[in-house]
Amino acid sequence: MTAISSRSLWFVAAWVFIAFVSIVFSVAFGAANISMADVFQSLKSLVIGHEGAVLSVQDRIIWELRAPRAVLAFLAGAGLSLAGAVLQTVTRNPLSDPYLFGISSGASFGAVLVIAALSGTSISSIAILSEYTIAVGAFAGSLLSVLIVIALAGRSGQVERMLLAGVATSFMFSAATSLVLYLSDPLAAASLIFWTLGSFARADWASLGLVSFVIVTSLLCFFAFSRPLRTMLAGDENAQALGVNVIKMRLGMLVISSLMTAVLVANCGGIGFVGLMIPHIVRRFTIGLHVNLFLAVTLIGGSFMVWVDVLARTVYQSSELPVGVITAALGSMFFLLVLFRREPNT
Amino acid sequence: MSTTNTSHHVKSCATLKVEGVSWAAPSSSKSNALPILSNVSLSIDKGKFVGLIGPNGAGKSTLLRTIYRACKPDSGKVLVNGKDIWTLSNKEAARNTAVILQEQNDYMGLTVRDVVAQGLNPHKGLFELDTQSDRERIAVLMVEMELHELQHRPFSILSGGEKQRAFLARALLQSPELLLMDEPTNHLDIHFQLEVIRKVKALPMTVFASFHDLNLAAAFCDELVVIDHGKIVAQGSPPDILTEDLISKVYRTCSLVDTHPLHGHPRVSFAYHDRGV
Repeated sequence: MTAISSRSLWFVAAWVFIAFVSIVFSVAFGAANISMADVFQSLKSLVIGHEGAVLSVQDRIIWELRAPRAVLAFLAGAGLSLAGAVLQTVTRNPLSDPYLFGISSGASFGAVLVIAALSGTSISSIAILSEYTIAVGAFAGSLLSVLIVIALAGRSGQVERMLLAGVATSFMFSAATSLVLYLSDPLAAASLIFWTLGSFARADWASLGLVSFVIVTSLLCFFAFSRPLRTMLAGDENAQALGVNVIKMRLGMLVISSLMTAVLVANCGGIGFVGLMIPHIVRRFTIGLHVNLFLAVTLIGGSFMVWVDVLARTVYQSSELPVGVITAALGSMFFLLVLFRREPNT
Repeated sequence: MSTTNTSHHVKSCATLKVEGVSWAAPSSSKSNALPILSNVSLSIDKGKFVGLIGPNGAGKSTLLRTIYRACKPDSGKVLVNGKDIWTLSNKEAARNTAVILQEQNDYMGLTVRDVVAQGLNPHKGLFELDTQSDRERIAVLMVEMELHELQHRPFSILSGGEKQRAFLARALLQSPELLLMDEPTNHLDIHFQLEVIRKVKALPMTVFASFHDLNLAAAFCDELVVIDHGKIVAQGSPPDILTEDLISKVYRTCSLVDTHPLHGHPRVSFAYHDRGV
């Protein structure tokens, strides 16, 4: 027993370390040539303080572009993996992911609607206002899709109804998005790529406050409920008989993970596959370790995303790859590898 | 019945009273609702091992569901220790009553120990972790149910008998006063059937279990409750209940009932062919 708890402690400690190191080291990668030494120098000057000194261009790249970007990548990876883990648990469906309830397509629809509306107005307003308007549109769209799914299937609390309602809502919003795109400016189609494939390029400290607040609060919530959530894997009737209010719990967790996902989508687009894949990989590697699944998924999903973003901005010299392309490509290959590796037949 | 177990708190056994319970399967229109239980009443004394028998579709599982709160009766009451179970919270109810079901489920990577530890849920608040005494209770139960060597393996790889023992361990961790079982011996070979039932029989708690196998029910139950078409047909001791007449009426099958040569309880032999009856 004690051997196992100390092993799980080491596991968590190691991943906290990896997560921290990932964020710091990732700052050294990107278009501008910045070395690790520069990063540490900049870090030192921030900690010690630089009285009167104006931030150098390099410092500004580090502090205003790369650092918030690395933190947003971590939060997004953590949040999406967490939402995936929770939704897979409450629906007992291994195919559940954060976009299960049409959140991604709802966000795309909201964003496209705003982009189409703005493209009719004067150019000047687009510059700053549009960034936020589009994010707000995406957030509203994803909330709308969640509300539709809950209205359709929420009260019964049945898993099948929820999944089917989610799929239907997803298709409905995709159709609406395609229609708006078809009728509007070709430029709008290009901006939509951001919302479907995701990017951390828009990260700034101001928006990170809200994102980290939402993710940390959700994590605490899932932590508080991790025992009843684990108990829900026993199936609805068993969980009920074990003292879990199954319908309330499922609905509550759905709302929390959806809010978390919607906030992330509004900030960095609909990055796919992470929320589906990371929980499966983590479950496989932590079996028998007695590590809280939600904590492990947060640390590993976040660290993974930080390095995905490093790839996104370094693979091509001239431009950035959409993050979603890398998560899907890397993720699916790794996932297949794990899946077909001979099961350790314990 | 006198076996004492160190692994669970020995509480007093519960009494169970079902008073005029009716339940109909929900349907789109009220007039269409299909009645499954009609005005079911029964009473089980402290510490009794009671079997629920009846043909397929008679309402056995539904009756048990109304007792572990998966179905809320349309009318009537279920009282455990004299308290209406629908006035309790989910957790309060789960501290009185545990259930063992036949649910096929792969538990998504949980280990055997994780599944057993689910039994602590009704005793724990938010953020509350397992204590040393919880861990000791789990360890003792694991040994008692002969699962200790399997405890860190995935639950999904267990055999039917092992799964059933794990469910029993989980139910005991709830430390209930009433244990409900829905066909606990289904899919088990005779060795595991007897093993599971003997383990349950030795527990100091009230047990209400549905059975398909009349001989198994006759061998272990203090009392039998017969249900047919959603109504209680009879309740009493196995020799009073298991008569050729009742079996032919309820199960529409001819049988011969005599006394078991080893144990003296009723033994049912079914007429498998038309001739010789």
